[in-house]
Amino acid sequence: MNPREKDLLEWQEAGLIDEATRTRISLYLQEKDQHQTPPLFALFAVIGALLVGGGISLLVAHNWDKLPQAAHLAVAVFLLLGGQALVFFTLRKKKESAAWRESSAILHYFSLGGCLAIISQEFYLGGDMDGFLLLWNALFLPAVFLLRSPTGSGLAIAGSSIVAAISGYAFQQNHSDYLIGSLVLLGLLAYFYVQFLQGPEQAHARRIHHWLWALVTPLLFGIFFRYDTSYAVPALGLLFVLHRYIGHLPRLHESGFLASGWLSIGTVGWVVMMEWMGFREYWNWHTDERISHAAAPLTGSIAFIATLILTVTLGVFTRMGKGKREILDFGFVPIALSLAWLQLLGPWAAALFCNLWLFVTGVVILRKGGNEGNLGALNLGLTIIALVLLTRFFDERIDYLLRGLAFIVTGVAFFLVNRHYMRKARRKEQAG
Amino acid sequence: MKRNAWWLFALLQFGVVGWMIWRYQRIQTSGTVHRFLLEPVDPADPFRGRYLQLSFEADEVALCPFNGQNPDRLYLSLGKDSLGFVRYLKAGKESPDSGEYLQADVADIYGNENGCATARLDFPFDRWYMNEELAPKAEKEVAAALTRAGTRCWLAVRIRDGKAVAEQLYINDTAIADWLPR
Repeated sequence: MNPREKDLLEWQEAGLIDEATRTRISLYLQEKDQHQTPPLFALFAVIGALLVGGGISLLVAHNWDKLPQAAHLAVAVFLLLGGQALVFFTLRKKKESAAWRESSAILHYFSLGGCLAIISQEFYLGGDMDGFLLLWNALFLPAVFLLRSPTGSGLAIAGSSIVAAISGYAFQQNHSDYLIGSLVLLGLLAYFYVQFLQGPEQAHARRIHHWLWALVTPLLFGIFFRYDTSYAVPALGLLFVLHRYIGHLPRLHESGFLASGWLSIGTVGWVVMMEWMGFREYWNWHTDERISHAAAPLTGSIAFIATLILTVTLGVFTRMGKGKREILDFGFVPIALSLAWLQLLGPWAAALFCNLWLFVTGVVILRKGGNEGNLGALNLGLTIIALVLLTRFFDERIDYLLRGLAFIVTGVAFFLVNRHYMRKARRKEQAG
Repeated sequence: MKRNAWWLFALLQFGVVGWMIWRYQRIQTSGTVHRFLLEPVDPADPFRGRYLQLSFEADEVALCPFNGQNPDRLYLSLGKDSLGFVRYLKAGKESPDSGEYLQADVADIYGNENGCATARLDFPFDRWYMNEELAPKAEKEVAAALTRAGTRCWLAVRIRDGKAVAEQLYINDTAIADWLPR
């Protein structure tokens, strides 16, 4: 007997539900099971399709030069038609099966790429990888929407981001069309992410997409700073604060720090940027860069100012999502103020302020974790404090003795705090 | 609804692929042959396989007069030297009214003396795809041939209405595939 049927019978015997309700629930569950693919089967289908697709790409890349041109082109057309037929069959007969939708999207992706690769080989088409990938991903995009395939979306996000990175960071003049094209594709894929990946059955795919987008955004944001890198670090710091705001949005919110790529990458990224700005050498370099790139296009400065305005506005005047704001959500304050200290007092003041703010942030998170008995928050707070100290390990201006004592005290604090709260949690469990 | 939409997109994909084949096939069969002198190396592409990366002796052209504006693309009027290899008669932002010409992207522009600058060109035929076993051998042969006095490596390119498709890679007058020891 199905374990759920067993539960239902038990509930009926306990008088929680009557027989009619049990039968209705049972029928509903049976019907739902018929349409759903077991998650493990869908996962194996995705892995299998990725391997077959990768195999097709490698076979094409071998370059079968002994075959005549007509045979090559026939294989290209066969690959295209085969992939299209598979998608058509899935839409017609297997629309409800996640395994079919995912595997046909992946196979269509690689067969389309194989078809375009053969045409490139046959006519010795030019070597721009970004142009090749853009055409491939643009032609594939409709399949993502029609099949509602998260894996297809993931492949297209990866492909389009590579195009944007190659054409955005390249200093060739004639690649701006590719950059615009890839950004349009990414915009459409972002729409797919927000619109289609909702509902509990898409939870895993949605979480993977959170991580994917949270990683892709800083990569693409860097394009603004290709001419002038002086504001890249503070601007990225602000972007990571925006990541946290996005992570708080009700539609994209996930319970659990690691489940939300936006919160995880936003927090870690912001801490890394703050650590970076905690070095006096960084601010010296920043000042030199600004002078040496005075004549460069202003894309970097404009991106920094726009991100600053957006972050401050959202941080001060809006409440994105539910719950109280945490100290990490005010991460724009030290970035804006350290730039002010740089102007008023010099690099040492900016670096000192960043270190102090980061240290206070660590203490506040540690305290909050302690009050709530949240071991994750406790360790995050301790890690931030330890990182502030660790970077000072290399600071020759502080005495060895002082640095050594600070390290030992923090290390011992790690042990004691964890031990204390684990004991507390165990006592609570036993009492409960 | 979804099925109808898929027919439409499938037709679009087929149209794009068909148009690509028709476009390049037309140049390959009825374009005029031009010969470009070579300096190749052998890298690999994850999707399209191994190839010889082609760079050309004639990969720069003078822009006279140069008005300070950097064009993305140039139209090169083509002529031939005494040995039949390509040389550029003129470069302009518009396609010429008469004669053979090639459309090439501008990689960068440098120098600006006496109202003239030099444009470095990106050709649409900078790869020669080969079987994965043959490509490394071809690279060695071409590299050796390039250092031998009196040996020339060149690419025959079919050009029609400014668009180009590579036709054959030669060492002296022997096609690369025939030159290689099998």
